[in-house]
Amino acid sequence: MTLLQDSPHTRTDRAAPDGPGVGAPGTGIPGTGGPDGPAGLFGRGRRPVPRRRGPARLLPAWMVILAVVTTAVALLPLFYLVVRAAEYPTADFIDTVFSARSGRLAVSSAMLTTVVTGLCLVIGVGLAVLVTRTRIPGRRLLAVAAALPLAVPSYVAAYSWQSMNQLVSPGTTFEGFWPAVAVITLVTYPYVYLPTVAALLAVGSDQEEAARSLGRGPVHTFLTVTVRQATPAIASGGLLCAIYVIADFGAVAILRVDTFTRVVYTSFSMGFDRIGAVALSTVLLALTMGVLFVEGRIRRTATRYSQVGSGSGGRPARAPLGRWRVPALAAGWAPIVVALGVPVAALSLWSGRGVSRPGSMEEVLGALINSLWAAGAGALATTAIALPLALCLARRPSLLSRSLERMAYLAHSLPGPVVGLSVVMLGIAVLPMFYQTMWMLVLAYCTLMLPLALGPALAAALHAPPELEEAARSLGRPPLIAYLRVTLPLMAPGIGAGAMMVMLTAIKELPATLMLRPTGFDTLATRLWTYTGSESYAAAAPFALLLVLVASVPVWLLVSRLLKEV
Amino acid sequence: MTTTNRAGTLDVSGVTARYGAETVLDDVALHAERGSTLAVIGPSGSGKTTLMRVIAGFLQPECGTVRLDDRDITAVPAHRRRIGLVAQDGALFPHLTVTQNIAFGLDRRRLGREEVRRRADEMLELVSLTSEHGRRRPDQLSGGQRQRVALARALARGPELILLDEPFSALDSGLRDRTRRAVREVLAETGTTALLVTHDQNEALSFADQVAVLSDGRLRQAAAPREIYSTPADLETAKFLGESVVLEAEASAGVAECVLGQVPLRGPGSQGRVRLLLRPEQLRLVAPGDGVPGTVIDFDYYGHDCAITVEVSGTSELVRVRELDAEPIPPGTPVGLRVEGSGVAFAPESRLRFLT
Repeated sequence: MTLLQDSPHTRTDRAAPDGPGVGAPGTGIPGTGGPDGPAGLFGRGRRPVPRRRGPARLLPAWMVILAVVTTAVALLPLFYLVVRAAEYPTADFIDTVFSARSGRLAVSSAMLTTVVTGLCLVIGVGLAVLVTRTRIPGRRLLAVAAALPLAVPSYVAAYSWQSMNQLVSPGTTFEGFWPAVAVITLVTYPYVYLPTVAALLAVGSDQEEAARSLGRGPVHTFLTVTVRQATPAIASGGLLCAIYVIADFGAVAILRVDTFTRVVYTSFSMGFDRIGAVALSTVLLALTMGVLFVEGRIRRTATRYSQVGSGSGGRPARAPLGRWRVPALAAGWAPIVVALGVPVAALSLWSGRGVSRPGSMEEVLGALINSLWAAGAGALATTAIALPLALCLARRPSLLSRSLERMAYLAHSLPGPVVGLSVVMLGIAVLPMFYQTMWMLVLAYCTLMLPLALGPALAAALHAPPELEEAARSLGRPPLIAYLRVTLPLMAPGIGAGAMMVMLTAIKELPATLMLRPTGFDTLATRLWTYTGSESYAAAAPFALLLVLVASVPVWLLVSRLLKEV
Repeated sequence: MTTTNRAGTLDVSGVTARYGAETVLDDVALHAERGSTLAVIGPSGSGKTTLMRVIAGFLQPECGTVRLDDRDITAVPAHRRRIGLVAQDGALFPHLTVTQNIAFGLDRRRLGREEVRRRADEMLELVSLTSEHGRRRPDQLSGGQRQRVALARALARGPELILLDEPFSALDSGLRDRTRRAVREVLAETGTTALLVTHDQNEALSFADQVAVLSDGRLRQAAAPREIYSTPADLETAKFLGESVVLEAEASAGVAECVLGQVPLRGPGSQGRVRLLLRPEQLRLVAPGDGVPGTVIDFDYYGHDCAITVEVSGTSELVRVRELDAEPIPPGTPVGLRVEGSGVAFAPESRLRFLT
């Protein structure tokens, strides 16, 4: 099975760059990695860490120190949040955490998370079964189309729905719990759909044939053998959805649903209720850690299954649908048509008007340049940090380097406002000379996106085995030269791919950018945010369009692979 | 050959290496004369690769020294050692062409572009590849070609010693023989001192001037192939080097009395209960009336020869007989057994610790 499960460790896959990176950064959604490795959403496998007997091979001490120091810088906000939380008097802290307001927030966050995750499971698993196990007409088209909503950032989706609502029924508002459920579900279900497709394809036909030969009917076999084995993958996908919903800021903010994440942001932006924000942030931190932990456990089970049972056998049999063909087609296409139709309609209707506004071209261009500049700097810094850590993990994984990796995934899974808040506090209290500069924004990008650069770099490092560097040294090249001439060139494509993923994701990043941008510094995402807030839908449209284009690049890579497999 | 022959004499003494609490090499000593080939052989986990990494300079031994021509190089970093390395899969740089790979170790500033090119071409020719191969990428070569390129790359600098780390094990058997012969010729032509690490006893015996047997991190024996095969220092070594027939025997005055009759002994004289080592090719099948009577239990046909398992009559002793050519013999056929040549006796407590 290779679909979407390209762990960075298959040495045969020389196209490492689009390995693990593709899925995870698809939307810049947190929680796509999980603590067990960069394989991420689409690689359910636990990383087969290269275990070597003996002392470090070609991993000079300075490299380890460099990796620790740089990663520590990236994770500084995470530590600082904990430090600040510990500073408050315990009683105050507990009062805040267990206040009536927190209770209300907990209820609405939990409701939103549960309902969206449930719907995502229904849609995602349903589509995956249709695509992998039935002879539904236009199967490949359906398979690809089902993944495409990933290209719509949640706040762009929210904007699209709201702006369409204004066109269709002016005067009414489109906000609140159920609209948020609809909008978030329709951009999140691919996180269940994709791993489920991979898992269903992984159960080879030989297992199903064995079950059939043991006297089980096709439906019974499917439920007891196939689905049973895909269950860990499905559960893991569902938990990733949950993390995403918990962390989502853009959609809930535009649609005005109070969740923990949104309130962290508002208590920061309105009057700066610091203890409230910090308390809620620690709640979110704990919540994220818990879900990540469970997800990691489940993923391990999935790996065990795939190690025992996967691989052999031909393509699984596909059931003919008979008279269920039309209902199946309708049910399969309905969520996709809605999920893609609304943004496409909104963008095509509003863009024309938006572009023809006087001065809009300059504004869009300015925001684009700012976006590229901030995201480029972020990508550069994140890649520089990921490089030594990737080498440490590839050459000699230690408890320290693996803990750093896990923490990087945790930070990556945290809601943007939480990281934004800790960077702001860090800037004010510890690094005032950097406060209100691009540096703080770059730091936040590093914290949020380190795993996106780490995954491909690690894959690339594993493609550049230490034996080659040793060969170079036995040919008379000192260690640094051997590294520069052999290992680095071999890693270059992976490093580049990781940097690109960070950049694309940073362009789409909203909350941390809002909180940390220098005054007057507007990016595509912040412009869209401002205009949507003032219901200037036409003015917002060009930004939404550009953001969708940016988000489409990794999704396109993903889809081209999907086409090969389904 | 314009590449100057700088071949040196290798001396390893008292090398001990540990990974954590585990001792991987225990007081190992080795010697390879200038221009000779030494094979280090042992089962997996015996410390062969560690030994090679110590010699190459990628691993510091806990104690002991590595000397090349009486220079102590134990503390010299790998890239200043002038020790070439041919890895199991060649370790060719995938981002460079074959020629660029071969030229990697040559100093372009010192030699000049032309000279580097010329030497790379010369090396290609040495390993029987054309300049067309030189323009290819490593992934466009066959396994045998890759190994030859790796050898050319290591030889291009005129190393004092070349280390071959199971360089043929990834090749299939026909190709392995051809590549092995080609490499041996090149080594002989260039007069390079070579150390071959392998777990394949046939390879070690046929390739090297000297064979050293390593087991559990300890050097068991080092001798010429013929000597180590015919007079192994212990039963483990004997078993590892080839198929054996081991029989309980009573030794006195240079003769061992066993189920196959009296067998003359070579090597140190032993007395009393011993274990007698014979090789299957020393046993002969003769007419049922002649020799020691036995019954055929099993017949394995290999093409170039065959192996017959015979139960010695009146005992439960099974012996293996190797015959160059024989008609298939059905199990149950009565035969006679005769021993040719002499055997080696070992103390009875020698236990077999590894299976080949």
